[in-house]
Amino acid sequence: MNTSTKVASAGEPVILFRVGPYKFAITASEVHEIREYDARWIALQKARKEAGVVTVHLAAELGLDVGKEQHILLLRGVDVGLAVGTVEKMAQARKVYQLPSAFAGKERQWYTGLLVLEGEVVPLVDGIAFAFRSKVAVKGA
Amino acid sequence: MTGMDKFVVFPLGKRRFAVLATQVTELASKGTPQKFPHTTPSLLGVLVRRSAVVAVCDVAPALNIVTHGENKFYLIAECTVGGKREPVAMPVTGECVLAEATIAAKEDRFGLGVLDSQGEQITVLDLDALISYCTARPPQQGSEISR
Repeated sequence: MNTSTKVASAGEPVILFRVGPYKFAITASEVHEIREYDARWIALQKARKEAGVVTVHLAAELGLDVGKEQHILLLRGVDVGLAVGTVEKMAQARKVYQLPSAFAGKERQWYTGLLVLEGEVVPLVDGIAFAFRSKVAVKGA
Repeated sequence: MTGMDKFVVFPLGKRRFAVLATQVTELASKGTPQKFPHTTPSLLGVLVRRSAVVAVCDVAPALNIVTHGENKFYLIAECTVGGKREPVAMPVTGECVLAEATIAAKEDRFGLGVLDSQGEQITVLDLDALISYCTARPPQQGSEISR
């Protein structure tokens, strides 16, 4: 079977988190800081406009129910935070599998690949893609 | 195709279909597809098989088959999807059998032709066309599969 093509080198640390009932991962190198979710802080950042941090609600981006965010993953190098459910733990990506080609929708922009951790398939979120789209959306607003 | 070819014949709802045996890589017993948010229609999730991640595609609606969720196995076959050759798993409703027959041409949207099995006309599926159709329909808004 050819879908097992490895698309990234093994051993990269990832942060595991939940959004709704689903588990996701993001490479640790993409994350600068993990903050507790705080609506006042988000509002303050919004008031700072261009100088503030844009918070992207990952649940909304993925078409899931919003409202149970507990953490914000501040991305490295961009003024964007991803609001997520619970941050669970760190893990090591032994293999990163390509998303099967049959997946042809928005998920191709959302994920850089899939991890299999203890038998569980975990999408690897492309934080920079969400950050880029959010900044474009904010600036275009 | 000329002469006798080998086919894997499988039940789907009340009908039986066939695929070229050379395309089939495995018949897996029922497991639960693992799900994550996505917007591609017909995909039920993925299976991890032999250290590979395989998309699970429900082809029954495209074939106008109602299965009532009685899927028992996954037929995993090599298909060309998005220009790439990869295995795709399809839920089927019973055990598969190997048949050797001569395929007869017949106009069918997803069929390569038909084979005759003791008087039963069984459509031999063009999996590339079928899977491409199933996964390429325009997604509906908010159609993330989270079942």
